[in-house]
Order: sequence, then structure tokens, then C-alpha cells
Amino acid sequence: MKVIVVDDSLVMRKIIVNVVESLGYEGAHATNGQNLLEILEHCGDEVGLVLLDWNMPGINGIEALKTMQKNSRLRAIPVLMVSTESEDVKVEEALASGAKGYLSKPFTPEELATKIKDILG
Amino acid sequence: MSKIILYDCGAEVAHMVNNLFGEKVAIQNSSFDAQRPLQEFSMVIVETGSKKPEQLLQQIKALRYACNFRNIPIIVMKKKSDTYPKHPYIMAGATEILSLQAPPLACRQILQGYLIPNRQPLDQEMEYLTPFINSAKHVLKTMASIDAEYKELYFPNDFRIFGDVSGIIGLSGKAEGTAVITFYWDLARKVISQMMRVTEDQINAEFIHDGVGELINMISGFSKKYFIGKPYHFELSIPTVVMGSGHQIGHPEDVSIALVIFDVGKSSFALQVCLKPKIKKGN
Amino acid sequence: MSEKNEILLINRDKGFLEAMAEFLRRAGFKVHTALEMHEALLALTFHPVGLILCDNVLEDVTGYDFLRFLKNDPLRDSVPFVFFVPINDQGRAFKAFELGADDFLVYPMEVEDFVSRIKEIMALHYPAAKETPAAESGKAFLPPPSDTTPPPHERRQAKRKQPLPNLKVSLSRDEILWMPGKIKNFSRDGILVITSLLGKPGVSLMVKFSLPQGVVTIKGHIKHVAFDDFRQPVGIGITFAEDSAWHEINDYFASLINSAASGASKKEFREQQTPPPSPPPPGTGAGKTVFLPYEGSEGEDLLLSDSAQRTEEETYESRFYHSLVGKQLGGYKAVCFIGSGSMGGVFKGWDSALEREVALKVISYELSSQETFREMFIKEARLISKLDHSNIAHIYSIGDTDGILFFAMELIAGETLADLIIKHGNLNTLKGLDYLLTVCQTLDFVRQKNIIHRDIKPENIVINDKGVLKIVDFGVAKKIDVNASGDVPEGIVGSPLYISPESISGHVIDHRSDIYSLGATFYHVFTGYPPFEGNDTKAILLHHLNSKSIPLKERNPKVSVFLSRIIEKMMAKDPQERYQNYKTIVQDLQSFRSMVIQAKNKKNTLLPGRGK
Repeated sequence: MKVIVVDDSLVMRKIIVNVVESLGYEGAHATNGQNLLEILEHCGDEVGLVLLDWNMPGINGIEALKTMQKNSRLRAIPVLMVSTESEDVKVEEALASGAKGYLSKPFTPEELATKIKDILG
Repeated sequence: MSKIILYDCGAEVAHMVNNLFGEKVAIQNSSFDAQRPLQEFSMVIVETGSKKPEQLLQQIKALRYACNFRNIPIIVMKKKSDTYPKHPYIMAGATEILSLQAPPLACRQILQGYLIPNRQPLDQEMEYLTPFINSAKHVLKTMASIDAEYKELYFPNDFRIFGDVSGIIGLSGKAEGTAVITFYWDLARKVISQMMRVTEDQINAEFIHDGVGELINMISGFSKKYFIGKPYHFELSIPTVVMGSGHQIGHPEDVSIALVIFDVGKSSFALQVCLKPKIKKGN
Repeated sequence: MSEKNEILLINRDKGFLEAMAEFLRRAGFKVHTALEMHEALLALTFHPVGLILCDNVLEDVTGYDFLRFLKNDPLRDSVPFVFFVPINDQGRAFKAFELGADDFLVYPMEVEDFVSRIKEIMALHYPAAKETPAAESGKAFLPPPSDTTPPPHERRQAKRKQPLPNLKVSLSRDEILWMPGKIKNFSRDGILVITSLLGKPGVSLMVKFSLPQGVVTIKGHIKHVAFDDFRQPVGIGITFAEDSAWHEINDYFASLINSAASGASKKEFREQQTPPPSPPPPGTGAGKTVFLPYEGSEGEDLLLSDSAQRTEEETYESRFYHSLVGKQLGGYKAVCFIGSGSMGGVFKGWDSALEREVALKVISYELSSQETFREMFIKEARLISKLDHSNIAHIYSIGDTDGILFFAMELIAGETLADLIIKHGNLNTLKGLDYLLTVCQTLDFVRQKNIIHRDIKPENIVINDKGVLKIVDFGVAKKIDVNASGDVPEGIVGSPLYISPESISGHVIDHRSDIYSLGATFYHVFTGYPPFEGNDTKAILLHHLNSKSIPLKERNPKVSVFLSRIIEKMMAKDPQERYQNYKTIVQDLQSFRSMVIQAKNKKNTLLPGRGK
């Protein structure tokens, strides 16, 4: 199963993919919302989880999340927001928009692993 | 008593400094030594003329490094005939360039100004600096398993950055300001490699730039939530990363700029913060 | 084998080509190589190529020609095409994208990064494909072409010339930090800039161009970033939206190239076309925007430049004040610098004992070094501290730290009349009139203590954030010795725009000099113009001595004749012809004020009737 890591930061993608791969999943990268939606368009069926940053150039995380929710095929893919935004209002907005979980940066690898396991069971 | 070190200064400069301060400060004249720690000195004075400007610039850079982000003024005394421009010295790390022709009274007051002890932060400044300090430590700890120790803070008289790579983020909203994190290469490489769980030799330019931007983003973002409901609450812009030394960053007027020094083992990094509520507290 | 795994690598540098092919093969790709377009086309015919990685110059044609050829071929136009070019001869990234290239990579870059990018590109185009086997990626940086065979770029430069205007621009992500950049080349879509400001592809940034017609700032996006040695500035490709501002700039660049080609020597061309980054005008957010010169460039750092307007003496003063920021002056902390006044520099300060904000006025090095001044300073501070009036900034205490003299006074946060004039054009309102009345009443109080201000001007009248008017900067105020027959003037004191004729000519002055300056100040407040303007201080001073000011009504037709008369009488050249005291001014102003109020009320009562 593929886990798509969406973050405009190369370093952050690497950090997150490290954790994803340590859990035995296959990590794929996307650099912004547009990029994510293109990938999902082609291979949404193989994707088991999207780890989504909020602030990115172009289509940002929350916009991409909302677009996914409008698409009947993509709605089922769980999304974990991983963002610097940490205020309650933002967390609530993300959850209300369909995110399955929220992790604010900075985080330890253990925290991220726990969140992923919570969603994927 | 304040201690001033003169590096490779001729009789004229030594005489002048002695005349200005007499017994009030301890003056030491020695030959240039890039390795010597400068923490014990209140001021470093070098002079132009006896060496090529390029060589002096390199020495000033080395001295700025040896200061390790501490607020130690580096004063360049220019010989009368010297027409070399000032700003390369400033970019290299000099604090002030004075001419031997300058009125002695002006020199005295300017040097005296730099020798006056730094002030301590106000309580209301700590109100917004403390979250940034805690946040910087927390981000390094969680993301890179690095213990950063808060050493000291002071208020520099400008917003120049002296380091190898800096991440800068604009803060706006209810409060406006800027936060800047500055590293030397070695520590930046170490921090980023520990974040990414790769060896230091795998860290390339792009990783450093990207990682430093992410660090300042996370530090500011993590601080932000402590300001909910307070006049210091802000929104973040996308971070900018610049390399090299001497850059001057714009900041809001009428507000202090704090420079916080953290130690990681024997290395240091600096966090500069200025933050100004747009609405006065009293209103 | 699936096409998703086959790469065609084209580079006319054979050694480099083989080395690169080997890295890609180790990463699990099947790689075909070609030195020229002819070979490349053969490879495309015989192999299911999934990605073309091409240099920008080939043995027979340029990479762009090859790309254009492919894009016109319906059978091959869908094969992803990525430029892979050396840092020292990147060519024209924008042209590449314009022609339909999918990416633009620059080497040297790290092997691991290179391979992962290729994988990313492949994944993007063939999403269903399984990831290629894990790369046994090397840890070393990719060798630049010079490590394999002699660098081909000298050869290339002879072949084709890139436009290189070498113009300076300023770049900013947030319009707070502006960094310098040098344009390396440009295309219809954008520019390639060498700079120390870094960013990621996709992010927006502002670019400031200095054109002959002025400074133009436009918004662009980072298309690609070419990293080389991480200690060096990088090349950033920036694209701009198709709009008139960018077209104008693009046309200008094109004209530069043409004029350079038509004979103008390159040196002349550069000198003529590279205006230095214009400094922000003083007072208009100067603290927010700072231009930076390149390290070692000829650019001047604004904060340090000995600009022609400033004398060396003044810079010593400001540098002295600068040295005190962040210091502890006796019981006070110097928090930040506010500005320079007539006698010294003003800081926002903090009184550690009483825990309150203060204004710290540090006396100029020149004055504080004079023994006579030090005595006078203490006397004056005592005197002014006795001026207990709600419209006068209070002096709290004086201090001397290692020969640095300062006094602490009431900190007034608000706007000066000068600020308000800039904001509103003029203040020909009831409020403006009330300000004048308050100043007159306050100065009358001051005059009763035998003190004159001597520097009344819009900058010295502040409306604090509670709306209370405060007169500040009694720094040059001097007690008049009522018994002395001849007070010897000690040089001109006051600001040229508002100074009285008798101050200029060095005569004995009294409170009527303040009345003149106050008239001149409110001439400016009511009309929006100072009474006299000139190219230099001398010209303005001569006007004060000899010229009749333009009637207020001509400057601002809305100013009442009554008010004009009051101001003009305050500004009579001969002190004898002015108001002789503040009380009479206040009387005249108050009767004028009642007239205004009456007229206003009439208007208000009449208005509702009109509509009915």
C-alpha cells in the first residue's frame, strides 16, 4: 500500500517518508496539492493514506483536502494533516473538511508513527 | 573593568585609545589570532593600512566567527590616507569604522557608547521572547534529538545577520515583526542530517536551505499558539532563506530586536526576534 | 521491458554521458545514450523510451531545436523531455519550458537527488508503474563535466551568445527583506537571476527593476532553482504573468540587447543602464525596506553611506546614538532609537525603578563635551522640569553615564502636526483651530515663566494617542534674563522653515519670536504648504527676512479671511507689528471660532428644512 507524503519541503518529506517506510509502507512524494491530485487521479486506488501539509505554494493542503472530499472515488482515502498550523481553529477546520487526523509540527517520529497506526489500524 | 583588545594596531591607534580611556579600561595589544576566543573582551579594534584590505576583511570575518554571535563590537580604525570604502568591512562583520582624522570627542563617545553594558530584557519583552526560546529548544529536540541550551540574549543595534545561512520569516497580523534563525555551516549540516536521519556527508546545499527554512517556520509556528488571545498573536509568511553574512533585514520601527544565543555542544546558533503589537495594550 | 523504465540520455560530452548513464543503470533504469540528434532519433525509433534527458547543446543542433522537432512529431510529442544542463551554461530555461520541456535540471547535483528526481518525474508520468528498484546511489556529488572531459562551455560560448544584461534587481518574498540579484539572462517568460535569496519552485516573489522611467515592482514565480556550491549565490529562474508591466520590462531588455549589438560598447552600455538601486525615500517606511549591495560590489550600504546631504559631523552624532541601542544608561534601558532632535538623539526608554516608559534624550557628543554646556544643560533641565503643564512634555530626571549626558522625559506616543499634514494635506478644520488655541494658551503659560521655546514647528507639536496636544523639545529653550539689556544671540537656533526674521539676523529675541514661528507653523497646518520654500536653507532664510508670504487663501481657498489675517499678523516681519502677547491672539481666535460654530449650527438647522 502506498502512503503519499505531500509537503513542499524536501527535508520534511524525507523525515516523514523515513517513518512511513519504517512502518513497512511504501512512501511516495508530492510537492503540493496540484501534484497530489494528479497522482491520485492516476493511481488513487493504490493509495492507503495521504499525509498532507497545509501551507504549500499553489494548491495548498486544505484546498486539496476539500477537492478530495468532493470526489467520490477519493473521498475514502484517509488524510492525516501534518502541519505547522497548530491552533485549535485550524485543527477543527481540517477535521471538519474531512481529515482523519491532525499532527502539528514539530513532532517526534514516534508521534507520527502513532498517528499513522491510529488511522491505518 | 572593560577589556579592549587591539589586533596588529600601530602606535597611533594604541596611543589614541589610551588617551581616550586612560586607566578606565584594560587595553591589550597583540598580533592577530583567529583562534582566540573573544568572550572576555568588550571590544576588538583593528586598523587598516598595515595590510591589504582583502586580508583585513578576511580577518574581520574570522573575528566575527570567533565572537560566536556574542555582542562584541569590532571597530576598524582607518588610516588618514585610506580611501577604501566602508561597507565591505561592515558586511564582513565590523561594527563601526572610525577614521584617525575623526574628532577625538566623537570617537570617544562612540566607543564609550559601545562599552556601556548591555541592558537586560524587560518583562514585557520576555513575554514574547520566552515562547520563542522554548519553541526553538522544543523544535530541535523533537525533530533532531538535539539539546539546545539557551545561553544569553541581548539587543543589537541593527538587524544584520552574521552567519552562514539564515532562515527569515515575516510575522504579521495582530502583531508584526520578523524571526530569523542563523547558523554556521557545520551546525546547520549537523542539525539537518539528524532531522533527516542521514549522515552529514549526504547533506547537500538544497537540504540545508530547505531545512533551515523549515526550522524557522516550525519555531515561529510553535510559538504562535502561545499568543492566542494576546496582543502578540501573528500569522506566518513563507520563510526566506539567505546565505552569507552582513545582510540587513528590515523590521518594524520603534521596537527592540532581540538576539538570543543557543549553544549546541561547543557550537552556537542565533535566533533574532522582533515583534510589535499593532494595537497598543492600553487601548 | 516497459517504456516506463527506459531513459534516453543525450549529451555531447561523451565521458560525462557514460558516467551519468552508469548512475541511472545502477538505479535500475535501462539507459540509451546519444551524442547528437541523429543518434537520438534512432534510439527513439528502436526503443520504447519513457523519458528523454537532454543537454541544451548537442553536436549537431541545440537541445531546443531537438525539442521543437519532437513536439511537432505526433508519435513522439508525448515522451517527457527534461533538460539536464551544466550550471555554468544553463542556457534558457524559460525557452525550454515554453517549448514544452517537463523539467529543467542543472548539474552538478547529488547522485541520490538526481536519481530521486528522475524517479519523481517518471512517477508523475507513469503513475501506475512500480517504483524502480532501490538505487545504489553514490554519496558523492555528481562530477561536473570538467571531471570527466574538458569543460565544453568555452566551446559553446563561441558558438552562441546568451543575452546577459547584467542588470541589478532587488528581490523579496515578503517585501520586508529585499536582496540584490543580478540578471543573467531573460526570455519572453521571465528572467534568470543570480542571488543569495533562496526559494522553492512555485513560490511567488516580488522583483524590483530599475528602469529609465522609474522603479517597477512586479510579482513573479520561481520556476526553478539551480544550486551549485552551497556557499555561493544561486541561479533562480523567475517567470512573470503575461501583462503590460512585464512586457514593458521585456521590451526594454530587448532594446538593450539591440543597442549593445548595434555598436555601443559594452562598458558604456552597462554604465548607462545600471542605475543603482534607488534608496527608499526618507521617512516613508525607510526602516522597513533596505536594499543590500552584493558583497564586494560597488553598491553603497544606505545605513553607512556618507551621503551628500549629511555632513560627517551629523553621521558621527547618529553613529554615537546608534552605539547606545540596547544599553543600560544609569537607571534607564535604551529600548530603541526614535530619532534625532536639535540637541540630541531620542530613544524609547524604560525606567527600571518606576517601571514606566520614558523618552531618553541623549545629548550630542559635541555639546556634552563642552564644560559650559554641561552646566547649562543641568540648569535648563531644572528649569524645564518646573514647567508643570498638561500640554508640555515633562522632564523626569537627568543623568550622566561615563560622560554620556541624557535626560528622561515623558514619552509621547502619537502623531506630530507634521505627520498629520502629510496624512491629510492640511488641517483647515475646527480641530486645527483648537490645536492653535491650545498651543497659544500653553506658550502663554511658558512665557509667564520667562521661557521661550525657540523651535516651534509642526514636528514639535504632538497629538498623543489620547488626543491631548503636547509641546515637546524645549531643548533649545532659553530663559530670558529680564534684567539684562542686551542678550547676545548664540548663533541661529530654530528650523529654517519656521524661523523668525530677528533670529536669523541675530537680534535679541523674546516670546514674539515664538509667535512668528507659531504663525509659520500654522500657515503650514492650514494651507498644507510652509510659508516659504527654496532650494536651500539660505534661500528660505532670505525669504523670511525679505519676502511677503503668499496669502493663505491663494494656497488654500478654503481658509477664512479672518484666520488668514490672524496668521499674517503673527508673521509680521517686525516684532512690533505682530501680536504682542498670546492673550490677544487667543481672543481673536476665539471670536473667529464662535463665528465658525454659529455658521455651522445655522447650516445644520437649515439643512433639514431644505428638502421639505
